[in-house]
Amino acid sequence: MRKSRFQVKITKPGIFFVALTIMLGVAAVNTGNNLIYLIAALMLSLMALSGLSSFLNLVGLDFKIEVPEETYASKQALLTIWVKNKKPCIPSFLLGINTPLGTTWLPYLPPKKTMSVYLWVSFPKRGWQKLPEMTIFSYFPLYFFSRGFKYFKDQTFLIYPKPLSCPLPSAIFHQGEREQGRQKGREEFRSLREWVSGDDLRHVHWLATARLNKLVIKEYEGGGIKDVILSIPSGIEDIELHLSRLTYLTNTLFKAGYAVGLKTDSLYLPPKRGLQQRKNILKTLALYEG
Amino acid sequence: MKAKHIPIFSAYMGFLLAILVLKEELPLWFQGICLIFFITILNHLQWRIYPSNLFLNFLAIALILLSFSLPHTDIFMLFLYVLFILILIKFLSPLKPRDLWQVYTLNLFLFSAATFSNFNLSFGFILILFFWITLIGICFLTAQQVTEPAILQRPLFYFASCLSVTAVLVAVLFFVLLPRSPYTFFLGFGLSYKAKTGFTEDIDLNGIQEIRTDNSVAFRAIMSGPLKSPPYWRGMVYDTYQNGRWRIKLKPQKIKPSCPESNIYHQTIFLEPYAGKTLFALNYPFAINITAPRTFSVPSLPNLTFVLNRPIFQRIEYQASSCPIFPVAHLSAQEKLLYLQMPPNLKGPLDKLLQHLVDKKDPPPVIVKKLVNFLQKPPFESRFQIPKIEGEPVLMFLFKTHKGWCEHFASALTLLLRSAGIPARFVGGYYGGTWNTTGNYYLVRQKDAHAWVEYWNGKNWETIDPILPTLEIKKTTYFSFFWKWLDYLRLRWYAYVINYDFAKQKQLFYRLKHYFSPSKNKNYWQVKKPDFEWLRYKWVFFSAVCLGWMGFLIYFLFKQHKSHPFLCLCELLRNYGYSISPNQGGLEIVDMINKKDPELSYMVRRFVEIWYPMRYGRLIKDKTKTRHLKELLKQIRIHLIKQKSIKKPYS
Repeated sequence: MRKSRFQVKITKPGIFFVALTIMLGVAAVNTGNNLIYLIAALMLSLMALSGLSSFLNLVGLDFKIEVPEETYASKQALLTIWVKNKKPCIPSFLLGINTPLGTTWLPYLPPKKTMSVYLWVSFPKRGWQKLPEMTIFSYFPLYFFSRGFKYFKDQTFLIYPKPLSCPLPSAIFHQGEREQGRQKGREEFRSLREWVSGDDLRHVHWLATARLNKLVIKEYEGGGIKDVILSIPSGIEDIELHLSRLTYLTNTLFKAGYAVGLKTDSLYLPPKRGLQQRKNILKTLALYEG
Repeated sequence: MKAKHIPIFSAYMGFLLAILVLKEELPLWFQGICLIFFITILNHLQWRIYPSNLFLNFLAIALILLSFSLPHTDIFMLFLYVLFILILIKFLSPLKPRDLWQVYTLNLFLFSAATFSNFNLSFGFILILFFWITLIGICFLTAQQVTEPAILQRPLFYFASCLSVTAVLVAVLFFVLLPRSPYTFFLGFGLSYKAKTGFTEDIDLNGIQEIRTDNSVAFRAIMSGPLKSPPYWRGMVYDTYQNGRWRIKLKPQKIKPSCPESNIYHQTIFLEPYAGKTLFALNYPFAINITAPRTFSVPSLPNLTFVLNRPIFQRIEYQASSCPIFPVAHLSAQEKLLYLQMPPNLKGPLDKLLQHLVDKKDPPPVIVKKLVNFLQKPPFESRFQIPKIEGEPVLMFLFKTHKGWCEHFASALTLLLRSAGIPARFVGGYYGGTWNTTGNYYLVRQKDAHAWVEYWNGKNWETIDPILPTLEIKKTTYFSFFWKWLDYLRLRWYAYVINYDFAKQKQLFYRLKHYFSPSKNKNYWQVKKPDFEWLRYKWVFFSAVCLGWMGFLIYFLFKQHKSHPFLCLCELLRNYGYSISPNQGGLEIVDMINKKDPELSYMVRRFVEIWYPMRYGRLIKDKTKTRHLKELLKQIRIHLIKQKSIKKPYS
């Protein structure tokens, strides 16, 4: 974690305020009128204290960033930023957190407290992505100056490829590797699940469908096992498009209860069910480099 | 008040304060119009009906052009009118953040303009109030541009208040350190200060009574201690009487007198602006040095008057030294001629009167005593209200009305003495004043104006007063202490703020250097610290401390009463060993407690189910629910106490 030096930018009201202070200062010297001196002194002290309070507003802050477990490229994800005020008695006001992906505001942070703010972000690329550089800034207290610093954190996140919907058969049966070992009369009922594209309409559980108002089908033990192996063929032209479709299929098939595997030129993941398998496949897709 | 309305409210309040500091400059009808415009605040808060920008632009141009044609409008007033018109037009249009910034700036300009006409301590107080209110407005405006300010209303208000107090303290430092020039470049852009009532170099016996009703301050004189008898503050010395008017005809011959006596009275006088040129000091002044706004010494005339070249249009500070006897025991032939001047129409009647009263061969003190006795006995009577009678005022007073004020008595005595061949002169000044024990100074008001006579006794000039004014004896009240302190603050305000200049800045730096140097001989400020009788007012401090302490207690009790019920619950649970983080929601707390104590969990659930709709719904003012919550909180506390007492034997 690194923090840059404070950077101060003057706003339009700030420029006007400084010009007005100089003007009153000159008027005070010209006229020798002590009451104008008094007003100029008040404005100068305000300027000084505005800088000081803006500085105190931004010191003693600590940040922790949380990214959702599954983040897909080009899709919005909700970033959680935990801000901790380590100062013993001074609160922080109007904190702005700016990233190339968006800006969010934390209006008030009491001393010795931690609060979270949320930021909708979208990563353009898949793979290991670094956290974008954040600028913490504030116009507090008087909108005359914007004081801020840049915050770098060497934290990387795995971004999965952008899921792109596609019709199931053409993608799954690319190499004709689909097994359907279903034999009539040998199935044992296992559970009910939501219908997905490709399911046999003969297995629809009509009572449950009517009750839940969505298609529900019956799953069978033993004979109902569906194993799918997704593959990435070599020499394909638009690899990103293919990876996007495979990501979509992975999510859809796991949701449908398939045991999914992955085959690439250098790697073979045998078909399995479970969260870990899904994560492995998505990670492989995220990090695949032709 | 909603947080989003605070910037608008502070813009209006700033404008009101600007009217207040400029009330002496603005005509009454204009002040009335400005106050009527305060109705527009309701338009901004509720109705939001605004005319078109084109109409407002035309209106502004028309009103500004109209202000040019107003009678008695100098450049200063024109500037004020333009500023006021611009603000009033802004109040008619929607107040967006940019417009509010403009209103704050225009209010600041109004205050800057007021610095040319209002020098009172009240200006300082109002300026600080304006500063505080505007700062709160700007802070909320800043918050409004970023977020919904209602979230941080209270902390932002406290912060803005603390910032303004600190800024005022730091401003004192800037005020002292900002560079001062011994010369002003443009003489205040041609703006002149306004004169107030007071003595002039020409006294009309028929028109002087105005000053008697004026309660405003004439000057303040700092001295080492109060005098045994009420002091005479000498000012103008009039030599020529003509047609009911006293005038000064003595040609200025500057002299440098010195006091033959050892007991010299030193005073530092803060003279308020007035239409005259003469400086006042304790009878008989022999040296006056002006210390502010510029340092220079004023030469004395042979009659011991100190006159400046131009009228005193701004508050000045000077140091005067006075002698108990007249220090120039000399009367030239030219002066004698001047002080025996008598209008021909008075000579006959006065000589006739004198024949009945005195023997001209008597020594001057005897003649004076007889004449004073004559004037102090009936039918002569001191009165402020007398019927206006055509004719020579002194003759009317002596032979017809027998009623008048000090000017009539002094004029009559002067002219009678002159008629008796004794050189005499009419002296205008002040008599008495209120001694302020807090600041060690005399406060002299315009109503203390007085006139008396000086006559030549053959060796020197002597003062004689034909009629002593009855001094107002004020009862010592509890408020007099407060007023004395307030007046003392005024004196410090003039001494340290209004009259602070290059010379004082230089002096201050030298003193600071001296103060921080290792030398033992340290001089302190020229003006003495207030001689405050701590023991006498100890009960005031005791009661103030008690009141403060009670207020402190009430505040905390009240705060506890009004505090957030959910936070109270969290605090209560924390006190009994449950670790509750600030981000934990109510239902999360319920789940957490459920594992340890289902009964308590049930009670907390009931609490939370009532609290959440109240906090986030529209039931915030439901008193029955609030009472229910309190009851639940009490039950939870009792339950927790019971649980603790059960667990204790096993722990």
